[in-house]
Amino acid sequence: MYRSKLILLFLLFYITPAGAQTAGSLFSEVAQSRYWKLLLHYKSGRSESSGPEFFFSERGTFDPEAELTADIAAFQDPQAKGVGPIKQHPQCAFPERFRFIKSKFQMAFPKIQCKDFEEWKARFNPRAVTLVYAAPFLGSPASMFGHTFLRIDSNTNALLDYGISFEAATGPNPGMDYVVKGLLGFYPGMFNQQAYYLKVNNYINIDSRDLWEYEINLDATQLDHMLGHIWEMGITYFRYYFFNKNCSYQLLSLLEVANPELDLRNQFGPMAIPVDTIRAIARYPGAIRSVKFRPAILKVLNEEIENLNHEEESRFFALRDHLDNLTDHESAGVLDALLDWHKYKVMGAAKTVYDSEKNIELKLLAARAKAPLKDYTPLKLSSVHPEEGHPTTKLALKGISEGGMGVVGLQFRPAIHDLLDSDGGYLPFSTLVIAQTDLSYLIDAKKIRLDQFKFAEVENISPLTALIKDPSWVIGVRLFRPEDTFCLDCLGGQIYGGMGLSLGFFKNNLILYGFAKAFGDLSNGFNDKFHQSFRGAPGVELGLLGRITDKLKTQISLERLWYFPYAEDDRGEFYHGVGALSYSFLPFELRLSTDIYSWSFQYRVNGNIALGWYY
Amino acid sequence: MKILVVLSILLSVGFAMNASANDAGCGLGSLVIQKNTKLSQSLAATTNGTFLSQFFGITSGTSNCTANGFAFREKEATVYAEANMQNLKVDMARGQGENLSAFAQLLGCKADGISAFGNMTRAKYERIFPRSDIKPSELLHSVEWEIINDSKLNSNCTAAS
Repeated sequence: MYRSKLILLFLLFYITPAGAQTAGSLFSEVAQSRYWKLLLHYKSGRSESSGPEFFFSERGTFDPEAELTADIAAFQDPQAKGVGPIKQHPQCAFPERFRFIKSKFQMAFPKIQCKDFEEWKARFNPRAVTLVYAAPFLGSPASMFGHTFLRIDSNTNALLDYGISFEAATGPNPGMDYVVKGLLGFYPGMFNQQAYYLKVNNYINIDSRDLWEYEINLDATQLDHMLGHIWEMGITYFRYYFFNKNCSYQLLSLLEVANPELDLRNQFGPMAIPVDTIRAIARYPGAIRSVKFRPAILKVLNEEIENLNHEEESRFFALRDHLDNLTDHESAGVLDALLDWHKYKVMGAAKTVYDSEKNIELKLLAARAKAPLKDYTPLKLSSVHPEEGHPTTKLALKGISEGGMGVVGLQFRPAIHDLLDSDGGYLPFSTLVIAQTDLSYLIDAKKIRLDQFKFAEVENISPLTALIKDPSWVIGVRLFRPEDTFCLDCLGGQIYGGMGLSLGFFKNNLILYGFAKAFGDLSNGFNDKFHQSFRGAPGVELGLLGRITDKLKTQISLERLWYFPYAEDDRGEFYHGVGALSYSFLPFELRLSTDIYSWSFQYRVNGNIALGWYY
Repeated sequence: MKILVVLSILLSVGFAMNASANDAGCGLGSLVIQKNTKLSQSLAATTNGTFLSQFFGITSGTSNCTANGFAFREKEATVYAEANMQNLKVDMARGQGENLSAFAQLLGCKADGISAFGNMTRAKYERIFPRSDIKPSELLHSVEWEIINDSKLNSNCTAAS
């Protein structure tokens, strides 16, 4: 060790690249360079990487010069201690750091064979790299925000490629502690390699989610650097935070190493929503070479059914749960739809398949093999790509008429979408709101008031189809001002949820929905009325949602609650009616809405005009 | 406090948690899939039970996989068939599709041999799938046998040589 440091000093002072630059200034220039800091995963002066073996210097997490010195020493030591579980020589564990250092300094290094790395890299031989976006799926909390991973493109058939993703390593059976640990960053996140065909099975066939494939514009040298760096990720981990240091965020660091001109991670603060990481890349003209779309199995199935003629369609619905009635004369179209329905049932709905059904499946397959060949035209891209939808953060200025009184208000919504936002690029008629804050300024009283703080609200309106009959549902938690307490300063907490059904008309541009709901309120404002601070209510909601054009949406709804306990003169009846209209002209939105509240023969009407800006 | 608990559940959603409900190193997915219910898969996705065994550069390898996350070349077609049995059944009956192409490619078929491969799987479907529960290795053997005995495929796919 000591000897190699001497060599290093010698080299630094006496062998420098041509030019007037001194060795010392070159050394610190390299150590302070963007690329070196990218390799060490620095952000704001500290490394985000937590694996102890990722650094050779004890100061490596915050001192790039100390780390550079220590790395050079490690690379120069032929007897250096093995790094990571498979005990690689430092040159082999950090091939991209080693390449970078060699390219900057004219130094002698021992020749080390890196068999594992070379074999791994040779299997890729990449043509390109693709960022894959798995569309959100509200049905599972883990997938509400979407997900991204990289695919290393080596083959003409993408299914044979491998994906690289960043994931929290939770261990096999995490319990409730998972929630807290995930939020607070207690889980290590690691990079992981998996065949793309497994990922396609997971997302397309099991979850029935769309995949969007964004080919990133990188040349052969950049791909080579990136692969070298991905290998370096194999021995370290990062603290995993759901909201900002997540899968999508950490992938950006790989792209930055490939092309340091892309400044991506710095575009993110407290939240890194997967679709925004695509926007961050798309901000660089030409950075995305092409976009491909891989539809979810249910979309494929719907398309197949739409392409059937009337007779075939009734044949499909007659047969889908009674396959034993299959004859030898079914058309290829009917058989194809039945096959995909069966595949969805087996893989997606994960229904147990009985032996008798298996034999019928075989009969169905054999019938398809005998039916004529068919041309399959790939499904068209949806008109709006996910990254072309409205940006995820919204700030709105509001004018409110509250029981005849004028108020100015402000709304801040860091994420993401509600029923009236323009649907392009999002799940249509869905809500996923986190930390929405509504403030108003009482002009006469010269006072700022918190009207609402929505911790979270998720609403999934899924219209019944002949094929899929999933319930619609909503769940939310918020702070609000109880309208019926007449206590202007009172703030309450509310938990609510609902389950119901919805029907779609005019190609799902008009939705009729009904919910059975439950509310739990907590507020000191109730004390005067019923001498306790808690009240609950069952309720019902009936509503209409309309998409008049791509830019114009409307909602009309009526909610009725039966609060208990209730005051004698009151009976606990509470109505809430909403009429709203929104017009989007991205990045802006104009929204008009009326809320009517009515309880015990009293009522209040609030009018609202809001100009929203998405950014 | 109640609010906090519910809130944390709502927020725990975790962006970006990968939904790899059926990870099995470098292959072997579809068998696990059929045993799980959708709910348990959602939970698995939520909890994201990732074992370290599938990270590259740190594993010792399994019978089908190299230490670095790839399937062994000579096992690739078997591993592929195992994870994609359901897809392959459908594609081989249709005589086309991305899964069929990938499988043909792993069996050494050239690009211009793939449609002939598809014609063969349709013509010989009931011989290739005599039962519904054939194993990946059986599938591989019968498909290779058909390739050898098909004069057109013989010249287009190396599996025959």
